[in-house]
Amino acid sequence: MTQPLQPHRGRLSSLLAVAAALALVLPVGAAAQDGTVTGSVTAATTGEPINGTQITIMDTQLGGLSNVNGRFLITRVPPGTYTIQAVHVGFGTQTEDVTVTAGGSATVEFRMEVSAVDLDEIIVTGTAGAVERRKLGVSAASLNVSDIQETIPLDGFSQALEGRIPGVRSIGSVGGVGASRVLTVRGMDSFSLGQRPVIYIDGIRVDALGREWGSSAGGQTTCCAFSGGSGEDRLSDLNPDEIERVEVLKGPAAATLYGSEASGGVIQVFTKRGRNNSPANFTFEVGAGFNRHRANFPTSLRSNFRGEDGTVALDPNESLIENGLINTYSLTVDGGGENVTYFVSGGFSFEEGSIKPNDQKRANLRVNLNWTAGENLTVGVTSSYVRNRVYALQSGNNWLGIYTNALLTNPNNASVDEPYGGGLDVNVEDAQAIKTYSDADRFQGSVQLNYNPRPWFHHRATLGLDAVNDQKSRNLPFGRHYTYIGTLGERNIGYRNIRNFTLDYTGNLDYTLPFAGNIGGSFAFGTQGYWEIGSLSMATGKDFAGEGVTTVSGAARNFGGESFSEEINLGFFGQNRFDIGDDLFVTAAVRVDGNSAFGKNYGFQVYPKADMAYNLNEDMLPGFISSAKLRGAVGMGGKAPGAFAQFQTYVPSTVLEDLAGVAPSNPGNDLLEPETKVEYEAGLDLGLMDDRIGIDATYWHATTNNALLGIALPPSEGFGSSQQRNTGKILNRGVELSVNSTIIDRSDFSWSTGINYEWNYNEILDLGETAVADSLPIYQGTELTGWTQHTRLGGLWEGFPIVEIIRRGILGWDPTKREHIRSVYSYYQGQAFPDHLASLNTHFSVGRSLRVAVQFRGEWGASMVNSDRGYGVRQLAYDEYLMHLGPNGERTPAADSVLNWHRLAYPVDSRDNIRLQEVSVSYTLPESLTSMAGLQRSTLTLSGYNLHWWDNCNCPDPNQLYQGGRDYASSPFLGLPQPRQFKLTFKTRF
Amino acid sequence: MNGSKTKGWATALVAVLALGACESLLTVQDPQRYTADDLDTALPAVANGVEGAIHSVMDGFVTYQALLADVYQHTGTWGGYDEVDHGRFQYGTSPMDGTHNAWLRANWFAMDAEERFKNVLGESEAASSPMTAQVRLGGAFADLYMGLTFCESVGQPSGPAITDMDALRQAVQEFTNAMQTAQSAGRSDYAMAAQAGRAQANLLLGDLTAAAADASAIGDGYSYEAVFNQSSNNSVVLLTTKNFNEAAGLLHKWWDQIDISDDPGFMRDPWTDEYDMRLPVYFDGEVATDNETPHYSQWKYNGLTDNIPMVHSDLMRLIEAEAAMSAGDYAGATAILNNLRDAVGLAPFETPTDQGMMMDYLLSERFAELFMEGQRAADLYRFGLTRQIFDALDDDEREGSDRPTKFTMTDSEPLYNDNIDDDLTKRCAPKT
Repeated sequence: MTQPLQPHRGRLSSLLAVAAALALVLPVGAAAQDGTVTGSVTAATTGEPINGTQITIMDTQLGGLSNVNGRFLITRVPPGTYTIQAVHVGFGTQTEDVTVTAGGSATVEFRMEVSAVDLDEIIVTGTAGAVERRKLGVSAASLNVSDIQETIPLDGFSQALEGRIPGVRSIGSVGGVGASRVLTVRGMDSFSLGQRPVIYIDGIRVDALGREWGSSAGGQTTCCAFSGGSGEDRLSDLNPDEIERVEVLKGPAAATLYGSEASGGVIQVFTKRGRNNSPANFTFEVGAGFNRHRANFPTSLRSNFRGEDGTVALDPNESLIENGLINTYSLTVDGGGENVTYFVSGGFSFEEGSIKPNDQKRANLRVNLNWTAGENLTVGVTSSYVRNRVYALQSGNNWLGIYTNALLTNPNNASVDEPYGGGLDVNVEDAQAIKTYSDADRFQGSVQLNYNPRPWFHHRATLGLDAVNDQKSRNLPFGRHYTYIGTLGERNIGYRNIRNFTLDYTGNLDYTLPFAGNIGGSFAFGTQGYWEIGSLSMATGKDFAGEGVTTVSGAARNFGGESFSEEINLGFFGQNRFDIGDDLFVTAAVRVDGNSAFGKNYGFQVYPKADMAYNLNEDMLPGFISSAKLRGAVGMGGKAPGAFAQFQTYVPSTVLEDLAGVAPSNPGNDLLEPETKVEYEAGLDLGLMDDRIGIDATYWHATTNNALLGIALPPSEGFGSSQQRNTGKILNRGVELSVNSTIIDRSDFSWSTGINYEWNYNEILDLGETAVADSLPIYQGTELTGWTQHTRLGGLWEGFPIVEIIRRGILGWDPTKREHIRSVYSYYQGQAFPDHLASLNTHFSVGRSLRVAVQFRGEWGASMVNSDRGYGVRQLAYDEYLMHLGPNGERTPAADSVLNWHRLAYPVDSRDNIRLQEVSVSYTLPESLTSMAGLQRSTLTLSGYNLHWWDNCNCPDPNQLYQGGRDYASSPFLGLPQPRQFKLTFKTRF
Repeated sequence: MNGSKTKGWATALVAVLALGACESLLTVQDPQRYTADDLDTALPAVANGVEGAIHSVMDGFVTYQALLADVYQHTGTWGGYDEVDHGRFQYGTSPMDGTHNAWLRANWFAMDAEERFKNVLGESEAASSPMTAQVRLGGAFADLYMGLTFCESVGQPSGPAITDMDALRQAVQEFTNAMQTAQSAGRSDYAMAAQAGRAQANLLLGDLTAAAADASAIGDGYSYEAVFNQSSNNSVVLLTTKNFNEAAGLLHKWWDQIDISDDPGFMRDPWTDEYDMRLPVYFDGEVATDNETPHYSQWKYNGLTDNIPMVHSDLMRLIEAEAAMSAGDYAGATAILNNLRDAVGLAPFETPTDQGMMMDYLLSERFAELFMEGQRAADLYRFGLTRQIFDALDDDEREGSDRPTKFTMTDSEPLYNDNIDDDLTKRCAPKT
């Protein structure tokens, strides 16, 4: 049921009043003879209104979005006959012809049929202008986060990407709230540079650090990592309620126009905007729930043992795991007049971890305004402020870790003072008394100008800033015992300031060739630059006189550290796309980049690209194929070296009796180049059964040339760091497949399913001239039966993946010596990252009220050096050892055998797993009920996240990484697993 | 359209000009590191850096030498300590690689610094500069410790492998050069450290006459120590002592000899059962980090900035005693040892009549005087006692047979140095 558009009712907030005033103060005069186009958009089968449908009056620059009731209104339409187009992802594009009379209103109703094919979807990232998907020769992915939020309330931006786009690996790898997550696109393409894709928000390059930074400034004069290795994830600053959609470019074939940062892919987030001629639409959401770990820590036998004083040892499964409360509140409002639109949102969330103390408080405020300043000019302004405070959990490879100290203790040493058992010398209670905070303030703002002096000539300029101030602190209170630190307490503080300035201009010229009427196209040119400045400063105070003082300066000994980085990139590009008829689209482009990190003798880097899309005519297709697009692309992208890697440097140090000293550090390289990655891909987008089944298949092949390798010099040559040289070559290739289908689509029941699969192959092709010949043994049982020849450089081996596991292992048992036989040589035991990933997303709707969504996700092919297991046994702490002890805790031959195994080698275990990732049940309250309260569409959603997993890893969670989202992190080492999450959410509109 | 064309050309022109201006736009500086040119204005820091680089890894040297010898056992969870304690490491897996790398780098920096001093100060001034003496001393100590610790090393940047004896011979020459420069520069402290170092190098080379001659020039009370500070802590304390990470503790063979009635306790002198103040030990009855082993913590160093003696007068006296013993002068040797014992209140030895007893006295005094100074493993090696000592432990996990007696060369050097073969079978690995 649709509702007529209502005039402004005067119930807006003061902020809205300002926006509305702007709309009045800054009008663009409408010609008196113009008319309007109005109408509604609904789903054909259910009659449900469809929010956010893009309505376009073809061959004009007029258009708008449908609102939550499916209604739209387009004003200032000159009289005439027009084709109106409605585009919404998940539905087939529809067009209707209307005639607009002077001062009149034309009405058009769109009844949208579901479709698994979205060839009319507009993509703007990396395309030098808005382009329909049918014209793209690359596999750009798009995700409508706003729609996903209607089904499952997302905990964060990264969750939106999880299991939804083949080629994008977004997983939670640490348990603390606010902690960093893994985010990579199409495998590992560099030996040493960041793997995380570049993130843009509304055209602005933003800080997306996903690792701890505590130890990167000041070295040992300050402290270790603040929270044990994972750190916070700056992507957790984003409020998912502000996000409209996300576009993902998976590699240089699609992202060439991003030049020296295109290699690892580009993700662009688009925040929500208001709608012209729309009253204020308020959306309020409140959620409550809890995080809770699975009780599968390998310590369930603990309570069978007791210490000398009779204390029964605590099992962390029972005593450490708690419910961590979740509360979220969000209020958004959007709307607009003829000339000004607004979107304003405010949100607050509080979330506790399941192991405490650990919580996150986040407050977001965003104001997005769009002003139609003239017939040819629009101005967009975005601004957001975030305060994100994480009370971080001490975990990971960390003597102060709560989880660490609870798990690695010997239950036979349990005592009243140390109920988990003795051992690591930090009592769990003392570890829990540590206060570790990350408190970030963040501002993002941008101004975007769109100037269209002619219908065929468009200019877009964006200027923006992302400013992050992250203050970290850690306080180890006086009077408690902390191994290295002693009992006098310690205070660590750190400040990380990042400023990212972005400047972007694109000119776009549409044309039709005079000599070939069916050949037109678009020529684009522009420039893009960023300037990133980062500074870290840290201070530590050691030894307090007593309780009560917790400032660094209040401690007896003070230390400080500081570091700085600066990177400037400037690029120019030109691109031409030929539109040959309505079927064939051919694009060629080139970008030229200069970057401050390139060696001073290097110069500029040129990145070319070309792609082609061919949409097969229906006449050429068999009946069951409703649409088909063939596409192919080749492109080059880059990755700039570290900001100061080109310089030969000597590091200052404090030596002898606190004297100034220096030591050789980085040998430098004047010829440093960006890593360049050439990627080609070919794919097929198919629509079957009237587009009810959509298939998107892509084969891609990428070679990273000039990969930076740290070429270690012989220690006798003095420099401690490796010399960065562009000598490596890495192959990545893979297959991505998406199958989306609407299996049943009736007014009372619908069922749709999407399957994503990716295969990713990673191989080191070349390690440069300094690599040496080496061999790896072939063992059969305990026998060494041969060798395979390889080339290696340090821990990298040609022919193997970038992060492989080559180490000594246990081959068998020597009954004479009564000990295990360890291999003399290291041998290949697996790779650290998965090569097969798959997900299943399925949705059911029952009537118009009940919706169910389920996601399963799986990964295969990865292994881990299970250091947790090894340490747990060595510490006489894990069930694997305890289960072999005698009834009174006495050692047995079997227990000794297990201990001997783990003292000789770390086990290598599989990370293969299948995970029930998301389940949500949404119920839309009857209108009869909500209207009584003056509310519109209101839903109640019960959801669960990370609910269960099936694995064979001999660990709590095969996704565990103690350094969270750090790019090359491969060790689980006591990284707290991610908890399960349960949440109830109420969302309403008014 | 003409106007648009003009605008288009203007835009293109601006783009070209912008490209031309990029070079200066794209220039950045690293304010947190020195460049090679900067160092010409920081010569004292260069000299300090060389000497400090030698000192800064003496703690790791002491800990691993103690684990290799019969001083320490592994009581934590770290694989590196475990491997050395049980004698399992081999070329390519030795945890001492980092220490070897540090000394090799310090050697290069010493040579580079000498050249820099010549370039900046001029040859003549550099030849008599205390800074030259300082870096020569640093380079000489690097060679001394590499010869003492590793079965082979590298004498020159990217040079071929040299034996431990060659490294020690090189050390002797470098100490001689350092002495001469220090004397020219009027730095008696550097000169004395160099002479004491040369005594130690000659001792290890077996040239006891030369060693004793140098040792006799070092008066009582002298000590040249690896200096630790708040920025560079003594990791023997940080990683192996009570109240810090208890990843290693005294080997079980010493436990019965430890008296903990005082805080801290002391080992008893094996000959008189008296407290030996040179062997302080802390034990409170608790187990170490491995949740199992009683942690007997050395207490010679118990503060994070405690220095580690490198060469000192007591070491010189022991060298003199060894030289006397070697010459058959047991009375002279015993007298020197008794002076050392008297200084800590221990009853004197009677002059032995046979070499075996004399050797036992010497070794016992070297153990006590040089406790936790990294010398015990070298003593077992040069006297060929490793197997005998470890067999006597009657410990299945620490058998004497096949136990390494020295550390293998760092694998970083052969891996990147074309003059050395990176092959496990080509690299030295002395075992019992």
